[in-house]
Amino acid sequence: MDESRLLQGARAFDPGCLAELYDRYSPEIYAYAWRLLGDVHLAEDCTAETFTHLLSALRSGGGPSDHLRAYLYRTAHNIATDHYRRHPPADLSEDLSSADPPPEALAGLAQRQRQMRAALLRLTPEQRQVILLRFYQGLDPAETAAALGRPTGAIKSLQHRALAALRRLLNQEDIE
Amino acid sequence: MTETPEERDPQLEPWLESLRAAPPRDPARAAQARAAFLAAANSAGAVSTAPQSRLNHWKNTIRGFFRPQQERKPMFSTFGTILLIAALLLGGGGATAVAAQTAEPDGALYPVKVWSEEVRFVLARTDQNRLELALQFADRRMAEIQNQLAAGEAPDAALQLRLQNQLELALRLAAGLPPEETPGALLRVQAAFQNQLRAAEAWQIADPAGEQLRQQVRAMLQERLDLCAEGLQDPLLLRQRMQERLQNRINVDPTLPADGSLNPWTEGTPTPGSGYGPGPGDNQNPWTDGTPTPGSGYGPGPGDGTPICENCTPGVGPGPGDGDGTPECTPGTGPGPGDGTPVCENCTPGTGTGPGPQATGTASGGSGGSNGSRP
Repeated sequence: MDESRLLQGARAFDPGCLAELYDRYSPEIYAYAWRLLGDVHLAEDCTAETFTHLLSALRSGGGPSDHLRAYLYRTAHNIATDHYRRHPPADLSEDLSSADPPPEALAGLAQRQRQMRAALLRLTPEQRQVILLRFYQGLDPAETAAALGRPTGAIKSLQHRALAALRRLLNQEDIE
Repeated sequence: MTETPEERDPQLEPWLESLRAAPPRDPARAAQARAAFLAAANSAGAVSTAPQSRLNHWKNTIRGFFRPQQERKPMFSTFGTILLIAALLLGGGGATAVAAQTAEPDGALYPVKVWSEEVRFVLARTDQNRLELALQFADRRMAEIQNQLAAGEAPDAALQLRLQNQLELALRLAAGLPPEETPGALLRVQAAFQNQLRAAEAWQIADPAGEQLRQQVRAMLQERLDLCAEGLQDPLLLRQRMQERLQNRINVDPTLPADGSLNPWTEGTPTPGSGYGPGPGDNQNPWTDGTPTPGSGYGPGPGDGTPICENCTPGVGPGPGDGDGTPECTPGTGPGPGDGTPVCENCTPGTGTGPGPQATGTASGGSGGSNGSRP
């Protein structure tokens, strides 16, 4: 079922459509939330809240008229942003400036993840979204534009700036 | 991952790779979340509560404006009321109200000033007018804070909270206007908030407490400017977010002191009218005696003074429940009015995450309210 029909069914609160919608999108929203939040429990909460938000919007006659997937990403991003507003992360500079990853592969990966996430959190919200949506979630420029509420033409330059900023942040410490 | 060859960067690739593999979901929790979603969907589809939601929204808006927040000097409210009645009896009500417009927060006529603002707000004929009034009153609060700082007085937490409420109200009103009016209203609010931000930057401050206050005001303005910007991109999403903030009571800025001094759910002994609780749970309950619907908020207390959920904190807020209706110290237990005593240290007021698809709302929402004293 294509996305527009899925959305149409969801608007009618068709149980089959809603179940398919959830099954199709909740895994990727979870992964997206995990990349943003770095915690599986927070990621689950964020996912649940994203879909609850969708239901609430549909119930009040709102919600997306198209680009359902982009809408979900945008909602998840806002929820994650709200989380960081309420619970600011610890000093990001420590994560960014910490020593080189230890030799152990797992510890090294965890360290690298923390540094990468710290760098992402230092980007602007739009830069962060464009990196995550384009490089991890597989959204095309049109969907990314819909998620960001920006013209499609602006995505390429935004992505370029985001990568440059990310490179600069990570270069400060480790990429030489 | 979608590769974008034009941007492929061998230096960045290892970093990007580090976040590529998300940890697998806990199957049990994922299944539980799915079941909760479908149950909520079923419930939402069965009954359309949009008109009721709108009614509740407006009820809460009006109540929120009148709801007494933490009073730094509660006697002033009493004194102000007595003064007002006396003034009206003596036929000088109008003159008193006019005279009160220049009152400062520590002045005897300040309660009259606040009261007259509330009356003007209620009597406003349109939401646009109410929006203008909310912005105007927020400007007044900013000026009062500035005057306090200039006089070397200690920052007034109640005044700061009142400012925050009025900023929130202005944004909520703008978001709730008809779609064709929302962008213009948001631009108006954005301009007003930016002016206030500039005004705060210009405050002459001599002590650290004042500087801390400036930071807090700056943070509360900046948070709402961000919301404004989001709303200009997607007014509908902002409207939903503002409704959720209202439902979840997310109107206390997280950057404000966490020592409870600004907690709108009083931690002291509730005074008449100061508590949110439904009181003894009998027919004095001013909220509802019916079974609350998920996410509707205020459930009647158990009535016998015995909290059902000992781990619940007042105001935890509705959210996705765990599906079995068991009151827990998690989102989904509903905003439980009560005596304000924080039992669960991990919970904060207003951290609920939306309508609880599984929360029955029959008791848990109001379980903490046995000691509330609502007149």
